[in-house]
Amino acid sequence: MRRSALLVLLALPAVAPAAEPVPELAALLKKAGPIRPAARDLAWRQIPWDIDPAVALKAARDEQRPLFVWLAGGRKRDGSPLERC
Amino acid sequence: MADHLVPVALNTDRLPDTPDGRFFRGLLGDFSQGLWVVTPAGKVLGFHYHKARPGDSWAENQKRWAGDTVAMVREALKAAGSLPPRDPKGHADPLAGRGRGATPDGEVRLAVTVVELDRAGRHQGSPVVDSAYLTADRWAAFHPPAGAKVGQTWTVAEDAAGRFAPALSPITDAIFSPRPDDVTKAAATAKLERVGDGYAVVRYAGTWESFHNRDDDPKYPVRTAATGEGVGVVDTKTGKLTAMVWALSGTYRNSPPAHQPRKTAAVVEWSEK
Repeated sequence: MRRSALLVLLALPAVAPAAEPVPELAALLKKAGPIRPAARDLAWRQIPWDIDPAVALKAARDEQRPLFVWLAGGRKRDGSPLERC
Repeated sequence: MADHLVPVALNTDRLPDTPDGRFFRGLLGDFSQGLWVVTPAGKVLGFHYHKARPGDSWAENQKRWAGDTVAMVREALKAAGSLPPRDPKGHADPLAGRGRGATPDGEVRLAVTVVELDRAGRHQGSPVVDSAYLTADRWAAFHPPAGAKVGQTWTVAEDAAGRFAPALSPITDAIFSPRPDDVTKAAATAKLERVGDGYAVVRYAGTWESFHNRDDDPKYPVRTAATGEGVGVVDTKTGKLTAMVWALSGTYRNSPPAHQPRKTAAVVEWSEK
């Protein structure tokens, strides 16, 4: 849900893994098609996110520009806000 | 936004206790999460924390959230003044290994997508984007045993199948999602179905159940159940999987009063390249 607010900031083509030419795999991918993410579901991946605070701050200082900061968590979980955390 | 600002996404539970980590922790104040535009000197140019408005539909909330975020960024960019466009060339995608390839020590990261479906099979809300991590040992459990013949079956180790926990919850908020330790049943089997030209096909089937208490509070039990089918493609020269896809369907039961079963569907996928 958090991610949806970011989707409007960019709208780029989907990045979808290529299917192997094996009929059984192709058939299951087809069946799973309605569940697999659409282009707009992954548009936020086109944003060049950093997930390391030191790297991001260095970039901002070097380039003398502000940061767009997305902080989430508080659930004692691993990962970054780019996925469920 | 990405053209003019440095985008950074951070887990507040994993901020290091360093000056850089404290810089970001200091933004939080009384908030647990949010979006900020801030200069590297610490001047906040914009902030947005979305609060759902009681009575608004999910779609209305999403629309307001998006609109408020864009407005905040626009105002912050005005306050920042003239900024030359960024050149993000050479930027490493932090999700590059999601659903693809393996780490040098053989760990794979399966791409997980989960949705909630209504009775007509329509998606309810945005899909959950997550990953299931399998160490080399766990990943090996999905591979045919050495010397396996067509028709041979094996059981995928419960410890390996249980890593599919992220595929069981359609809720983006992690407290509503089981972890592998919350999985009470992870029964997956595999069968070497046939051999083609340079490849072999594996069929999988699995059943999962999980139980955990939201925020470790027994007043808020969360239960899930799912069944799934999968297909793996193995390179007969190397004996290694080159692709694996699973489709799961199940139910998600939140704590009362929202404890009626909700239909879920998930895809778990990985390819070598």
